[in-house]
Amino acid sequence: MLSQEEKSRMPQPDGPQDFASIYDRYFPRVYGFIRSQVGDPVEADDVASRVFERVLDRLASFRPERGAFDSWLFAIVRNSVRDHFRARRWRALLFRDDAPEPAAREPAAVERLLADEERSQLLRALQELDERGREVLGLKFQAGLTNRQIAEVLDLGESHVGVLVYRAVKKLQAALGGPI
Amino acid sequence: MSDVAARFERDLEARASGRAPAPGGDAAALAVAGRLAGADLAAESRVKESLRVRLLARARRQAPGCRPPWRFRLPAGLAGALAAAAIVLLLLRPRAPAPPTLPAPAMMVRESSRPASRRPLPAGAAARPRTKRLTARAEGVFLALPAGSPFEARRPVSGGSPFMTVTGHRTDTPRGRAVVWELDGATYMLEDRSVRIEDLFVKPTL
Repeated sequence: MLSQEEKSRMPQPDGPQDFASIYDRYFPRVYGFIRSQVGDPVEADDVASRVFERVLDRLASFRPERGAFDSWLFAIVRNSVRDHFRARRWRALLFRDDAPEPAAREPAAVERLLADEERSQLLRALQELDERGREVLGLKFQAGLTNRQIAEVLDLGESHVGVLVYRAVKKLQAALGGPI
Repeated sequence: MSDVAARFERDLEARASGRAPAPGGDAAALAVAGRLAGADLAAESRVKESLRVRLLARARRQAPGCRPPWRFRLPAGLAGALAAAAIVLLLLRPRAPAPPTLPAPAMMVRESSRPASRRPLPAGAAARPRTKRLTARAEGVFLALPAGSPFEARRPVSGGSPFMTVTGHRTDTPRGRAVVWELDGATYMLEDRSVRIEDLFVKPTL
């Protein structure tokens, strides 16, 4: 059986069938990460679309010898999320009537959009974290990356990532109303 | 802090592999991590299937066997350099010398429509220009003429044809192309401007 590290060092995909397998395998993890960062599910869909378009465009440039496929992929995902937030800030500056607040920050909107109360609570609590904390939790628990892979994506040390993950979990625990 | 974090990471790995974490760990934090890892956020996506269909169709079009032989991809740097060179060439392209043009904001009108031959000129008046330049301020599409300006519609000479042919030349003005022609010592200009709907109508706002 292949280890997680070996699995992530996939051979360079070639052809639509390979892209299909990548899409099927990674969509839940990619979308889960994006959704944990972006408050609005419609915006999360937009970001996910851009991510997989970029992946398709750049797939030929992936070199397994340079690093794990997961790290390469989630670097694209992370940049796309950052682009999304940057664009939203610009829109908020240019069009004052364009509400900068994500819909998920409004409990009522979340209640309407999310049928699952558990998901709703988690998403609300995630929105209360700082950007870095939300990012490491999304990469760790939705994208399913190891601390080493998160360190590659964020360009940090592995032990530093462990500390960030633990702190963010404790903040999430507090945001959910549990004892710290 | 790093010891606590390392312990937490070990407990997480133990739980992920189905083993029970060692006693004395942060059970509440582990429970929160378990809740987050178990949340299926991807179930919310409404584009998953349609995006898959769209991107797979695109992937098939981009597959090497499906690509027409005349389509090839330039390296990104070379493509950028070629684009920049094309822009520079366009900017440096010599332009044809423009014919002499009249000042655009001004409008030339004849002072009188009567033929000069019918009006006896006083001595010394031959050098006087027979046209008067009415400086008009450009306001959108139309030129505003000063009130009471001696503008008269040109009427045909009695017995003559109401139509006549004159020769003009094309020119460029700051606001667009124009045709300029001269007639009886006066210069006329017909401008061709692009007009927006906002130039013609005012949108009332309360």
